Amino acid sequence: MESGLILGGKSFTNRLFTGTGKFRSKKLISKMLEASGSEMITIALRRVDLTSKEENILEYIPDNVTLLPNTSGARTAGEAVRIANIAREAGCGNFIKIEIITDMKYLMPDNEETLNATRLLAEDGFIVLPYINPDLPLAKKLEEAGAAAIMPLGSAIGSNRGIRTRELIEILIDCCSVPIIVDAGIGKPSHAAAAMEMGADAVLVNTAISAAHDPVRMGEAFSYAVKAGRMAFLAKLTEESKEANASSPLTGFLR
Amino acid sequence: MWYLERPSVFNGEIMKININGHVENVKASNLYDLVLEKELQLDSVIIEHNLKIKRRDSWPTEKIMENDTIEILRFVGGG
Repeated sequence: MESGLILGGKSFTNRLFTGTGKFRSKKLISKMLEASGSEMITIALRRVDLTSKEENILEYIPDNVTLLPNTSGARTAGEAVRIANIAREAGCGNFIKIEIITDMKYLMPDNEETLNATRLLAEDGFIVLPYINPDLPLAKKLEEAGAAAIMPLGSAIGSNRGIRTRELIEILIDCCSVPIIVDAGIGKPSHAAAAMEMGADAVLVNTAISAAHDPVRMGEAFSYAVKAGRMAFLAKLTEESKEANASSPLTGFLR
Repeated sequence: MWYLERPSVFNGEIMKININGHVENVKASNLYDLVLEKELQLDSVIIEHNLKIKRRDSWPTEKIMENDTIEILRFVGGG
């Protein structure tokens, strides 16, 4: 059996990472986690709305699931560092997904600020997972800065458009030594399977699960897809060719 | 719950502070009473007081002063 994906000294057997955004009911989060077996889930930090009663999302995440707070809402490295520190102080552990965004139409990550934040947070003992637009020179700088993994986007957040940056992610998988976790844009299990077949180490899926008609069943479907894709990668895919290659012998015909 | 039985230490004075980006008048004189005054669950919020995170067990002794800046935060769903 394959050994798990190691991040920050922790081993993850299940390579489907999930998110907590956009669930119709928070109760569905625990059920989805149970059905999918996901061992890592993202959460966000926000101001309390003092005018309305809100539930505590942490109550719906079992202790055996690792929390991955994100820095969403941050527009600069400084803001991301502040959010990371608050999350750690609040007892969420050392994992942090850096998400620094200034572009509100496509929610493209600011790679430069992300590198700055990675340097500061990795030095401060965080297990840093930066969300980036896939770019090899940047990825190498992130590795040097101490990133525990790199999270390239497949397509825009919540767009469900799949792995549009395929060639660029393949280059990262080929050249980076830290794990590559494809994040954002994965809209269906086949997209997740494709990412894993390419050799991605894990995928992070939020909207495609949480906004599905049945998020619990969809979480399970993604889990199968990720396992199948991973297994196919390990089994090594056969070559593509333009022309047919007969599967049955071309000799000894009965004619 | 134990914290509901704790006697109030509101001293009747009203202070103007900045909470979550809005200027508000509050009666509470420490962070613990502020959480009660805002009718929030003590175990689900995180407080940053003048840009410093304050541990939950220190809230009863963290005094609030006029013009302080307080952020009351919590974890929410996100990807």
